[in-house]
Amino acid sequence: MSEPIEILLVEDNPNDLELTLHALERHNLANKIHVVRDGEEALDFLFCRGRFAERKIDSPPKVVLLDLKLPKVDGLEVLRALKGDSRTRAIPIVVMTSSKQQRDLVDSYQLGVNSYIQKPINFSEFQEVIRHLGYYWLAINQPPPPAAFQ
Amino acid sequence: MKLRDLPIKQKLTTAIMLTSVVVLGLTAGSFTIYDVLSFRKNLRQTAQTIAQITAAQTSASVEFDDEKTAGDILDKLRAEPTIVQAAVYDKTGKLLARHPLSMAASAFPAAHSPETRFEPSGLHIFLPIAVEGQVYGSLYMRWDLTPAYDRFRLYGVMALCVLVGSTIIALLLSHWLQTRISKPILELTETARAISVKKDYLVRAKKPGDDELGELTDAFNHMLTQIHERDAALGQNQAQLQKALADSQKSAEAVRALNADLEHRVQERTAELQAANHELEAFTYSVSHDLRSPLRHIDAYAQMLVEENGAGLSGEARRCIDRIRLGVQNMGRLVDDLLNLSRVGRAELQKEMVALNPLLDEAILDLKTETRGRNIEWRISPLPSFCCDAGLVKQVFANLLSNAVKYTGPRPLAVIEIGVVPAPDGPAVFVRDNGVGFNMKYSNKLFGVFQRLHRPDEFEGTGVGLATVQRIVHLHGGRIWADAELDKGATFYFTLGQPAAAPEKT
Repeated sequence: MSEPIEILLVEDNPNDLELTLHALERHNLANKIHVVRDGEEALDFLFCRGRFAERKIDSPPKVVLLDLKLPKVDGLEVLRALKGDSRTRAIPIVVMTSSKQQRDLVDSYQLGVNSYIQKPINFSEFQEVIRHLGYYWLAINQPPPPAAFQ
Repeated sequence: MKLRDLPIKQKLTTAIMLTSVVVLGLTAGSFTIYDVLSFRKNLRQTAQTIAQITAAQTSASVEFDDEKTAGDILDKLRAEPTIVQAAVYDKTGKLLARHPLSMAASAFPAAHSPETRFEPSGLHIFLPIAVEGQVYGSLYMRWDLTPAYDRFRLYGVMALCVLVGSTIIALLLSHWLQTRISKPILELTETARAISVKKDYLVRAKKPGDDELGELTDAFNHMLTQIHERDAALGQNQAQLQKALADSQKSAEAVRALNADLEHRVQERTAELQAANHELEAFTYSVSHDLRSPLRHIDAYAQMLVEENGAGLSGEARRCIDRIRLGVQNMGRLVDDLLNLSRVGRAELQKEMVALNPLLDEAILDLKTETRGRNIEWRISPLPSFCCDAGLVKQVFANLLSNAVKYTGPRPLAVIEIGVVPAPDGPAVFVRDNGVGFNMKYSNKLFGVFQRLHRPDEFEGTGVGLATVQRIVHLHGGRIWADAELDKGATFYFTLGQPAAAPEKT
C-alpha cells in the first residue's frame, strides 16, 4: 500500500486475470494494480467499505477495468452504482469484455462508461490494447482531482 | 246524406219509387185535367142548348106575361135533376116563373145580361128571351156541379189507390231487383271486407250471372288469384330472406368465433415468438460472451508458449501452434459472423431515405485494410436512392465488395464495377468483378449458411456473409441473384423495391 493504486481490475475469470496481468506486467504496470474478483468486492473497494473501510473515497484509482459478466453483482450493476453516486461518478471506468453486443454497448454508454473495449481474440492485439490503455489512462489522461469525488 | 252516399239498395228503391210516383202523378193529373175540361165543355154545350130550347118555349108566355105557362114549362125541367134553379124574367126584370117553386123567390138572382159562368155554386147561364130579334125577357139557369165534383173526387181516390198499389209493386220490384243487382254487389263488398279483415285470399266471390256484375266478379276473383299468388311469392321471399338473414347471422357468428380463435392463436403465437426471441437473444448474448473467451485464452496461451519457449520449440511445434492460432482466428470470425447474421435476422428495419452512392463510398473506405497494396480499378455509376435501413444496406455492400476484392486477389488488375440495371421489380444494383468467378451449377449453394464454393486454402471465408446479405435483401422485400463464369468473374444483383428518387449525378 506504499504506492497509490492506479488501476482497479475487476475480473472473475482466472485465465483472463492471468493474461491481463501478464500483459500489464509486460508494460510495467502491474505493481500499481489491485484486483477484485466480483462486483460486490469492486463496490466495497471503491466505496471504501467492509475490508476496504480504511481507504479514502477521494483517492480512487486512475482507472477501473471492468468486466461485464461477473458473479453476484454484474458489471453493469457496478457501473450503475458508481455513476449514480456523486462521490464515485468521476472515476474513469473502462468496460473490458468479450462481447460487443449492441445491448451491452448501449447500456454501458447510457450508464456513463468512459470507454468500451472488446477484448480481441488475438493475444498480440490484446497486449497492444492493454499497452495503449495503460499509456492513455495513466500517462496521457488528466485524472479528476479529489474535489471531483464528493 | 247525399244521394250518392246512400246504399245501393236505397238508391234503387228511391229510383223506382220516384219513377212510378212521377209517372202516375203525371198520368192522373193530365187525365183529370182533360176530364174536367171536356166535362165543362160538354156541360156548357148541353146547358146552353137546354137553356135556348127553354128560352124558345117560354118566349110566348113572356110576351104575353103568361106566368102560368112559363111556370109549367119550367116545371118540366124537373126531369133534369142537375138543373137546380131556373127562372124567367120579363123585360123589366120582374120574375115571372121559377123552378123549383119550393125555393123562395129571393133565392134567385136578379135579371142579368147574357152570360155563362162557372162558379163553385154551379154553372150559371143568363139568356135573352127573344122572338125575331125582339127581346121580351130573360132566362136564368143554374146547373148543379156536385155530381161532377163527386166524380172527380172518385178519380182522386182511384188515383191514390193506384199510387199506393204501384208503390207496393215498386217496393216488391225493387226488392226483386236487389236480389238481382244489389245483392251480388253487396256480396262482393262483403267478400272484399272479409278478405281485407282476415287476409284470406283463398275466398272467392260467387258469380251471379254473365252480366256486367258477373264480369266484375270474375275480375275480382282474378285479382284475388293474383293477390294470392303474389302473397304466396311474397311469403316465400320473406321466408328466403329470413333464412338468408339467419344464415348470414350464423356465418357472422362463425366469423366472429373464427376471429376470436385467430386472435387467440395470434396472441399465443406472438407470445411463443416473443419467448423464442427472448431465448435467442439470451443465447446470442451468452455466445458472444462465453464463446469468445475460451478462444482468447487458447490464442493467448499458445502465443505465450511461443514467447516463453521460443528457442526450445521445434519447427513442427511452431507450425502446430500457428495452426492452432489460425483455427482460433477463424473460429472467432465465425462467431462474429453468426452473431451478426442472427442480429440481422432479428433486426427491426430503421427505414429512411438513403442515397446509395455515399453508402457505397463508406463501404469502400472501410475495406482499406483488405485493399491495401492491391491494384483495383473501381467503376462506380450513379445509383438510385431507396427507402431502406442504411446500416444494413451498407452491410450488403461491405459483404459484396469484400467478396469482390477477395476473389479478384489473383488478378494483377482487379476491376470492380458497381451500377444499376432495370429489373421487373425495380432497379437492380449490381457488383461485378473480374475475379475467379464460379460455376453456375453451384449457384443454388451461394446464399446458404456455411455453404462455400471455394476451399479455405484458396480463399478464406466462413460461408455466412452471403447468407447475411440475402437476409438483409429479403427483409427489404427485395431479391438477390448472381451471374458468373468460372475464371471470368462474377456479378451479384440485388433489388430493394422501387427507388425513392432518380439516380444522383456524381
